[in-house]
Amino acid sequence: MSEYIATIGLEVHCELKTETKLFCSCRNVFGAKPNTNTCPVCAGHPGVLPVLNRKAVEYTVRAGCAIGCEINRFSKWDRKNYFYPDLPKAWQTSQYDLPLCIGGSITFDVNGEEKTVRLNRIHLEEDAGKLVHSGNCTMVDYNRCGVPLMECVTEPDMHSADEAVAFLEELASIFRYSGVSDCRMQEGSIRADVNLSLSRPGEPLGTRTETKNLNSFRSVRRAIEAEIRRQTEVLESGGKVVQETRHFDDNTGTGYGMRSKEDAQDYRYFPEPDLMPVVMSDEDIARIKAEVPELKRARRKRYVSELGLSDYDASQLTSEPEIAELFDGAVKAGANAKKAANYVMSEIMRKGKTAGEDGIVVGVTSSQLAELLALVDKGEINLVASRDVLDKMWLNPNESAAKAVDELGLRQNNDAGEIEKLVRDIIAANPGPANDFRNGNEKVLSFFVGQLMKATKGKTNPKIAGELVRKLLSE
Amino acid sequence: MEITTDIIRHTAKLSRIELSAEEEKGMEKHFAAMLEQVKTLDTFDASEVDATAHILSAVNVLREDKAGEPFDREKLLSCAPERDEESYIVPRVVE
Amino acid sequence: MKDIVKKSLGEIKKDLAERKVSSVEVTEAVLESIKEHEDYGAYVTVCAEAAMEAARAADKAIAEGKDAPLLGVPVAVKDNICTEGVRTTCASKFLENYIPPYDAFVVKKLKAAGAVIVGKANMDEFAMGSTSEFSAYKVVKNAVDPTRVPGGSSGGSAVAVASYQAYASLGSDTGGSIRQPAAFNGVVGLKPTYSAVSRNGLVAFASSLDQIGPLARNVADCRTVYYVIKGHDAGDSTSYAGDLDKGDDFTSLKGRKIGVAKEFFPTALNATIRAALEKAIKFYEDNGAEIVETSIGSFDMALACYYILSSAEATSNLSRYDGIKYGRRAEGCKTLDEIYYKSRTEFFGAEVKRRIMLGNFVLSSGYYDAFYLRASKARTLIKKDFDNALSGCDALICPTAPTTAYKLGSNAGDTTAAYLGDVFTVPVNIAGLPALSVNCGYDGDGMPIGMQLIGKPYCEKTLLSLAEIFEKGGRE
Repeated sequence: MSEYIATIGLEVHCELKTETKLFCSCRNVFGAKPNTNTCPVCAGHPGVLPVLNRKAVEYTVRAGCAIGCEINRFSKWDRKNYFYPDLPKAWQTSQYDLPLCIGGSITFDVNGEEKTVRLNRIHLEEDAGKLVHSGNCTMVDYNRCGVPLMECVTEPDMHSADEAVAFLEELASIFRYSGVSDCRMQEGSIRADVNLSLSRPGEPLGTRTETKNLNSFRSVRRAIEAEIRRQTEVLESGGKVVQETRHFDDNTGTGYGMRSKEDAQDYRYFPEPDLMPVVMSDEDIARIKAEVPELKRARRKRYVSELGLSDYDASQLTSEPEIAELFDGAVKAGANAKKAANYVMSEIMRKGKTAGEDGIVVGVTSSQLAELLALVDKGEINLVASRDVLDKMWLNPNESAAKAVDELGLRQNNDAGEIEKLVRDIIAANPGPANDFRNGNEKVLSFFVGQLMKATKGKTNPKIAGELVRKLLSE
Repeated sequence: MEITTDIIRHTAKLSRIELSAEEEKGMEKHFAAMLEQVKTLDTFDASEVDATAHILSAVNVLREDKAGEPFDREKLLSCAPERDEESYIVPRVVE
Repeated sequence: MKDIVKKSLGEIKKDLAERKVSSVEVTEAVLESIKEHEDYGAYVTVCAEAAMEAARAADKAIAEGKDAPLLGVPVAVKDNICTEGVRTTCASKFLENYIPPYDAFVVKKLKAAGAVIVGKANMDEFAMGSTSEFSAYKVVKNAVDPTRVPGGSSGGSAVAVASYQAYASLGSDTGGSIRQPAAFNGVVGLKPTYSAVSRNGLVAFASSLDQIGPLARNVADCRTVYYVIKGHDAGDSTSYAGDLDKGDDFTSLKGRKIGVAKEFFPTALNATIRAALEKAIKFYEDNGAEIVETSIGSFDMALACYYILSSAEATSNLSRYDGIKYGRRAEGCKTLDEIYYKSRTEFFGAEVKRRIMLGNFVLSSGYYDAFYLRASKARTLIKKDFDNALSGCDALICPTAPTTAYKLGSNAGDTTAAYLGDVFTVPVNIAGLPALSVNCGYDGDGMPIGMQLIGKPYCEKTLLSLAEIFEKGGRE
C-alpha cells in the first residue's frame, strides 16, 4: 500500500490596518481596554445602520491586485446569521456569492522548490468580538467587533505542513508589503482555518475536517501534522474520518472535535438590505493596482540580478517591507548597493529589532541613510562614529546626517600631516611596544592605532592612521 | 409540500424559541395557511427573472476612514442585564 | 383651553408664533388630553417632564424671535423610533427597560425643528400587525369607536392624532402600518418613498421595506412634518442623496392623470368602500383630471412576496434580542443557551414568534430557493408593473384597506386573517413607492374610509397636492 497524501486548503483571515472599523467610525486598534472602542452600531443596538469604510474596500482590492485576483466589477453584502455572544447583531456582514476578489495565485519557495497555490477568492467581512473566560463567567468585549477582515480562501493545493506554512508566510509578506495588514500573529490579526483530507495517489479525496482559528504559523504546522497523524491512524485501523469542525489545543498539541451542532452550518445567508453594492470601474481598479508596490519575491530577485547582492543578503533585506523600502530608497539616492546592504543588515536591523514584536522599527529615512553612507564613504566619519550619528537621527526624520556629525563633533581628521605629528608623539611615549614591532610583532600596530583613536576620541581616519603607524614605526 | 412537526421544531431551534406542544400545532397550522398563500408565486417562470438584490439603484455608498469621537462605554454597558466595570457578562461559554 | 388641542398643527403653529398661546400652555393641554384619553392606549410612554422642558425652551426661542417649522408644537413618536434617554420599547416586553443611548435621525430633525415630543406611541410589537392588538402592554382603541381596532401597526400614532393627544405623529410603515391606521381613524398618513426618510434609529423590522412617515389631521400638517423629517442622512447607506422633490405643488387638476388599476378593485370589494372610491375618482375627473385605466398584473403575488421577504428580514433583525447587551434577560439562566431560549420564548409575543419562525423557515437550507429567492424575483416583477403603470399617470388611486375598522378581537383564532387586510398597502412597500392615505367618506357605522394615492419615486409633493385638492373639495 502506498502512503497517504494530505490535501490541504486554507481559509486565512487578515485584519486590515484601517484607522476605523468596517461599518462605524470606532477606532480599529489592538489592546484597548474592553469595550472602549464600541458604539451603538458595533454593539448591535436596535435601529443602528452600517456605513461602509472606503479604505477597507480599497485595501481588499489592493490585496487582490497583489495576488493577481480578478476584481469583481459588482460585489455585494450578505448576512451570515448565527447566535453567539461575540456577535452582537447575531449576523456577520460578509460577502457570499459576489466577493470583491476572485481567483489569483501565489508562488513561493518551499524547501528550495517553487510552489504555486491558487486562491479561490478574497472577500471582506467584519470581525467578531472577544470572549474572556473566568470562573463561571464569560466576559464579552466588542472592541474587535466590526474590525475589517479579509478572508482569503485557497484551493486545496497544498500537501504538507511545510507548504502550508510557507504559503502563509508568503501571503503575510504580500499583505505587509501592500500595506493592507500588519499580519501580526500575536495580536490575532492573521488567523487560519485548515481543511485537510487524506487519500492514496490516484484515489478520490477522503473526507475532510476543518481545524479552526489557528493563530500562529507554529500552530498551523503542529495542527496539520497532528491531523495527518490522526487521520492516518483512523484510516489504518479501518475507521472512517468524520466530517467535522475541530479545534487545536496549543498546550497539549492535540486537536479535538467540537460539540457538533446540527444547525451550526445553516447560516441562512441573504442579501444585506442595509448596504448598497460596490461597483468598481476599470479606472478604479487601475488606480488601486498602481498602489501595489514591488513585492518581496520580485525585489529579492532584483537585488541579486541587478544589484549583485548574494541571495542571502537579498533575503535578509526583503524580510520586512520597511527594510526593503529603506534600502531601495538609499540606493536610489546614490548609495552603493553593497555598502548600503551591509550597513542596513549590520546597523539598522540590529537597532530596529525590538524584543517581543513581529515587526521592526526603522528609525531613519532612506535619504538620511544615503547621506550617512556618503559621509562614511568620503571618510568624513568612520563606521564607529556613524553609530552615534544614527542614534541622533533615529526617529527624527528632520535631522540631517551632516548636521548631526557637526553637532556631535565627529568630523574625522583626514589631515596626514596632523596625524603624523600625533603618531610620532605616541611612538615616542611608548618605546617598549615600538621595539616589539621592530622585533617583528605586528600585533602592536593596533595598539598604536587604538592609542591614537583614544587621544582623538575616534575622530581620526583609521586608514590613514594605520598606514602612518606602520610607516613611522618602520623608520 | 407538507409542514411537519420536524420542520417546526427545526425552525424553532434556528429561532432559539421554545414551543409547547400546543404552540407547535398552532404554528403548523399557521405555516400551512402561509404556504397556501405562497402558491400565488408559482405563476411565473423563475428562471426568466432576476431577483431584486436591492430595491434602490445606488452603489458605492462609502464613508471616509476617519475616527469619530469615542462613544461613552458606560452608556452602552448600562443597558446590559449583566455586566461588570468594563464587559458584558454571560454564563461561561463552552466551545 | 380644551379647544387648543383640537386646532390643526398649522393653526397652533400660527398662534404660537403670534404668541397668542405659549408652548407650555399647549403642551399642558395636550398632556391633559393624553390623561383623559388614557383608555385609548395610544401611548406606551408619556414623557411629560421632557416635554415641558422642551416647551419652555420653545417659548424662550419664540420670545427671542426665533422660528422653526414645529417650534413649540407637541407631537408623538412611534415607540420603535429611538429617543435618547426616553425608553423605547417597540411595545415589546423584551425592550421594557431599554433606554436608547442615541436619537434617531428623525428625532434629531424633529428636535431641530423645535417640536415638543410628548410621548412614545403604542403599536403592534416590533411593528408586526395590523390592529395594534399585539402590543405587549395594552391594546390601542379606535379613536372613532373604541370598541374597534385602530389599525396598525402605528395604531397609537394614528389614535394620538385623531383623538387630539398630539398635533401630528411619526409612524413607520413596512406593509401599510401608517396608511391603514390613518384610514381606520380618519386621518392623513404618508408613507414616503423608500430612502426619502432616514431609517437611522428606526428599530428594524424589515429593512428593505421599512419607512418612517408622518400622520396628521390634515394634508397640510402632514406636509409640514414630512418636510421636517425627509432628507439625506450619511448615517443610512440607503438614504437617497438625490433630488427628493421630483413632484409638484399644484392646486389645479388640469393635465393631471390618475390611474385606476383594476386589481385594486376586485369584485369582492366591500360595496361601501367601492362607492366612496368611485365618488373620489369622479371628483378628480369632474375637476379636470384624466382618469386612465391601468393594471398591476403581479398584484396577486404581493401578499405572499411581502410575508416572505418581511419575515426573512425580521428574523435576522430580531436575532439581536438575546438577553446579553440590552433589554431583558429571563431569570435564573445557567447557560448561554438558556439565556437565548428562555429570554426569547418569554419576551417575544405570539405574532412576533410566528414571523421569526416563518422567516427562518424561508431562509433555511433547502427552502431558500423556493421561498426567499422566488419572492425576491416576484419583487422584481411587482416593481416593474408599478413602474409601467405609473409611467402613464401621476398617481394611482385605490382603497387603503379592503375594510373599515372592525371590532377588537375579531381575528382571534385566525392567525392570517389580518394579513389579508394589507392587500392594498403591501405592494407599495415592495415597490418602494410613496403613498398617502386620506379620508374619503364613512361607512354605515360611521367608520372612516381611507383612499390611497400611490405615486412615483420622490413625488410626495404630487400626492400631497392631489390629496389636498380632494380634502378641500371632494368631501361632503
